[in-house]
Amino acid sequence: MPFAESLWGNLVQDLPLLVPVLFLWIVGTLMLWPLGSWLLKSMPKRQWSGITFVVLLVTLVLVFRTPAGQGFSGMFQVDGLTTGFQILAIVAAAITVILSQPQLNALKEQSVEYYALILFSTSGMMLLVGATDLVSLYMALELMALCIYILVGYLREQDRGIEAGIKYFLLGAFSSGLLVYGMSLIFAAAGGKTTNLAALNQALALAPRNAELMIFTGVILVLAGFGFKVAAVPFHMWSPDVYDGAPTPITAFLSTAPKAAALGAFVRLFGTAFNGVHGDWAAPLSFMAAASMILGNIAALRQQSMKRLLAYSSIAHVGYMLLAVLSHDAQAGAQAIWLYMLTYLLMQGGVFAVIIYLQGKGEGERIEDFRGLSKRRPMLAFAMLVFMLSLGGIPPMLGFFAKFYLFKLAIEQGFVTLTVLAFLTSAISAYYYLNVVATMYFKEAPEGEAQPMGSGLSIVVFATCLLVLVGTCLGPWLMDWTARIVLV
Amino acid sequence: MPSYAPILLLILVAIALPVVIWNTSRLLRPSWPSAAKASTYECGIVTVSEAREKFTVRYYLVAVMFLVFDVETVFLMPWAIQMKELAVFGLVEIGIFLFLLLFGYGYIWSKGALTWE
Repeated sequence: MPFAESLWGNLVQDLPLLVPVLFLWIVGTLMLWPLGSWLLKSMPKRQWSGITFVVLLVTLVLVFRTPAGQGFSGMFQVDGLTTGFQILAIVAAAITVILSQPQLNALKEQSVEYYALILFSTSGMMLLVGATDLVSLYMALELMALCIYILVGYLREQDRGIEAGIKYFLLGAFSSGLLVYGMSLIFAAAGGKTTNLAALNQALALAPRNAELMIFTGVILVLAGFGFKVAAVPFHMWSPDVYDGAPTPITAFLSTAPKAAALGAFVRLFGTAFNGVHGDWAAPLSFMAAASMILGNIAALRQQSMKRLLAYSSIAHVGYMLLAVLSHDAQAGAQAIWLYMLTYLLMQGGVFAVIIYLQGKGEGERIEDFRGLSKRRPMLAFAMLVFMLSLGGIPPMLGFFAKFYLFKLAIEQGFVTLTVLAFLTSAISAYYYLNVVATMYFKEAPEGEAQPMGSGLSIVVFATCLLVLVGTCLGPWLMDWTARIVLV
Repeated sequence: MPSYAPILLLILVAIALPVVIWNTSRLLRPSWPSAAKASTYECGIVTVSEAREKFTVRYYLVAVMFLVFDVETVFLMPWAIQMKELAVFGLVEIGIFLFLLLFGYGYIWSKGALTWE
């Protein structure tokens, strides 16, 4: 009897940590049944986007009100890092939901399931960033990924959509296998007693000398698994095709939210559990960072499609952020990544809003379609200019400050060569970002005009543009805010 | 390490056994092959087509639904065995679990996955 009572007591005590996640689960389930398919069947499906947006806002409030603490037998922890990255995931999901509404309307593909899957996936990300145990980490990662596999293949009438879905699913499943195998090796090497991250760090330090190869293999496999999830070279192959074939709002989602969550977990896992075996993963991770920066930026130079360009540039941005994962100081790394991801999220959300606006009915996502945009829609072109300059990290813009703090951290940690490489490749990236700007401002507009779509998009464009501009003025103080991203 | 020796031995025996039996029977038995004997099933019925065929997607749907409700048993069984020890806590937990399955059931029902035609 006391056994059951202690279980009960623990559950009641730990449950407040999961309130935002539970809220998402309950609302998502109710949306599927009975609300979505039974009670509110006559309601127009496009209104689910608005409802989902409100749900995400409520979740955001709940995240702010969640007390810090640890629970579920050391499986889940709410600290500054958890809260910070949960906010990123929710904001990214909210932007995606607004972007989805006009796009799915145009394609006549609105459904409750789409929005419920976004909610479930977001809940997975929220668990992932707070996971302090290999088992809960893996479960959260799968919850996040399984929903995204379906969302990527959502346009199942289109060949490209199916191709993207299958590709992402197969590679994702494969990388999950690598990840679990690596985890099992580490679990065994650490004595087979614990999967808790903090306890693992101590256990790995005490591991016998003949277990070194096992630990090394395990760490490399986990690194490869995470490399797939954040699309770092050489595990990036899926990313351009998947970005291209997925519905555009999902591409926006894919390039921000799961990356933010996976990088949060990445920092926590490597900064706490594998901190003692830094020597094992520093060199491979440096290689991944350098290769991502070089290949991402150089491959982006030749892209004709805007979505593929953003896919490659996203690989490059992940390369920069891996510099912070590399840092010996996990907390400073998490702060730099958080700031970078926040600015990246805003810029990426804005850029995708512009793309969807121009896309009309699922056609025309080439860079050529931006010709003469400054004459046709001057405000939109100006917003795009702001996003592009910011993505390229041109000095006065918000993106510059994020990059500055990231590179500063890397220099302080002694990664001089990598930082110089990051500067150089960053200069290359300015070329293709400015190329889009040049196309908008100095090329003649094509004949005929695509139908503009929805007012929700202009709101996203102007809100994110405003935030980027306001953030630009506040740049020097940004680092003070990120000090709240505390890793316990 | 010595505790794993019997398992290794078992693996070796398991591998050796079919090799020995198959080879012995191949040496002892008479061999008169014919086309009918070489076919996949020697059950007396002439083979119609290859085994690789397209199935209607409904079978997969049924398989998935079966899985959902089959997993239910996997969780119910240990709970039933430990019911007294888990007391009210266990009852609430398994209640939540069954309640969740109910939502899944409601969802597939409302989607019309249960009607065959």
